[in-house]
Amino acid sequence: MLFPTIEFAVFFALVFPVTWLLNDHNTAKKWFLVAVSYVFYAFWRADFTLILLTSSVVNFALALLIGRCRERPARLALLWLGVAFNLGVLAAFKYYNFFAASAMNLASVLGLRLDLPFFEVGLPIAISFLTFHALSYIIDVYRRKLEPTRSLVDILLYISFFPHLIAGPIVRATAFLEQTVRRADPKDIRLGMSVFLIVGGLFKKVIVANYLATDFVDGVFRNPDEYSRLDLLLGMYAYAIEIYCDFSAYVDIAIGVANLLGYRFPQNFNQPYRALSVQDFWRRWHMTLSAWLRDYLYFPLGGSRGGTLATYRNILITMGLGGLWHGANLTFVIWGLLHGAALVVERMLGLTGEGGRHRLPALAAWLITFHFVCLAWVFFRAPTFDVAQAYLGTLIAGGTATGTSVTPLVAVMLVVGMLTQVVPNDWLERLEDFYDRASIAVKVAVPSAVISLVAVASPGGVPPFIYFQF
Amino acid sequence: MRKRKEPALSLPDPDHIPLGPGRPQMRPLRTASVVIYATLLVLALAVPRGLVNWAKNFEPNPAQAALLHAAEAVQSLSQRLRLDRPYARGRALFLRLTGKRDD
Repeated sequence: MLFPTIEFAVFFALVFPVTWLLNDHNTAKKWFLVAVSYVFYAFWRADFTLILLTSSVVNFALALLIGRCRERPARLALLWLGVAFNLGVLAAFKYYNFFAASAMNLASVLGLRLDLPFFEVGLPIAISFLTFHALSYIIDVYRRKLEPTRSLVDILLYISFFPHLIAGPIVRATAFLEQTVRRADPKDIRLGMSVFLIVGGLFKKVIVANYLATDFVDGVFRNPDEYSRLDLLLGMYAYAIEIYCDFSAYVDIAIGVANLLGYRFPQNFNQPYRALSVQDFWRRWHMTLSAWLRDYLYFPLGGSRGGTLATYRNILITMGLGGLWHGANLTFVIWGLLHGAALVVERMLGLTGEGGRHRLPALAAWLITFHFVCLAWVFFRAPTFDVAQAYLGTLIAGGTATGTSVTPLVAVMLVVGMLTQVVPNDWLERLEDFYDRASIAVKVAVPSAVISLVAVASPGGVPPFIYFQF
Repeated sequence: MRKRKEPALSLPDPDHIPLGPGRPQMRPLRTASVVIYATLLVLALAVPRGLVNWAKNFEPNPAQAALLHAAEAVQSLSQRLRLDRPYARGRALFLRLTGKRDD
């Protein structure tokens, strides 16, 4: 079930009143939310709900065992068992074929013959986000940041809660479980914020991301050598805007929907293309993933405690694995390693902006950062390494085509997409404040008008969000 | 070397999520409910074609027939009251300006 559909509108129209009617019966409310979250997931593949259930029950039990153990070695062994289970499920569904093909290629290079079977089971949607949530829970219990919950329904809900189930934001167990132990307070509903996040998300996804993808980006990444250098340059910019508008739209709607049900989700984006360094970019882009990688991968690897070289190694490993998390493809690993290398170079040259200082003028820092990020997106978007190579090769050397195939609609979407990066955040807050104080007629008129306008300019159908595949 | 105007950003505390910006409503549930259901009603009447197309997408069965019948009734009411006009005109203008066609 996609957010920008009538199915979801009907689904939410049913879930919203029942959730609040059950608010004084917190356990019943949580079971209800678990049930509807499983229904939400079952719209893709009903049989894969078993993965959700198994993951929740296993992690619930492991966390209880870790909490009961007093000896550190036993706790650590249980933690490793949990990590192996969660990563094993992820690897089996998402990476097995990739690793099998890589092993066979390596064997062939070494002159050996290796035959491994391939499995066509399909990738369970949301499996990566599910893994992040599950690992966050058992690791925090191991670190004694969090008491293991004795309520199975809390973990079932934490893993499956439909607004964040498919594409985040990644909500920490500590932050989510403290919200499930008590009834929600209706006064926590921020109506203006939720309405603007939802209608803004619909606009970004249905209009900006969709038209950029279908009318321009998909074509230039399919056959880059048939396009001019100008088109390929604009294609990079367009994809940067498309993926931002696509992913941030999902998360915005998720935050708005969760808030209407009485739950708080963390911010995940903060105008990432304003970044003045790659480090700054990762503090603005997919912020919950950045924090997750920092706390559960970079720090356990040693962080910056082991000296300069060890820090650089840890950054590269973290970003390389962060890239691989996005998909079983060499292009994602390259994308992650490029970001890792850029973070290392920034540290070497003192360009991180730490201490409020940059060595470069702000405009130069922005230009370099933005173009680096766009360039790295080429590897992220290209279906294969060969396509990425062809894209960059044609961009540098030039192809046979001249002029541009950018239509006026695409040009407008490019401008509108970039505006999302430059409009000051407090403008939106002022708008939300105006909305919160407005009459009920205005409160209804604003979302009605914006969604009607989205419908006027919408394409025939809405493709899935990009991050669903991760 | 040039000083940056703002201090470098840091990631928010992942273990504590603050309440979002804005102010609570006087009667938050009542207001939110009115906004949600009134907006859905306005959209059903203003863009009834979407509802009809959606109902047509399901496998034909008695429930789908009932849903389609209801959607067509909403469309008919909308047409009678001319509530679908703004959408129809806006859509026609958008298609003319962009050279796109309805599926």
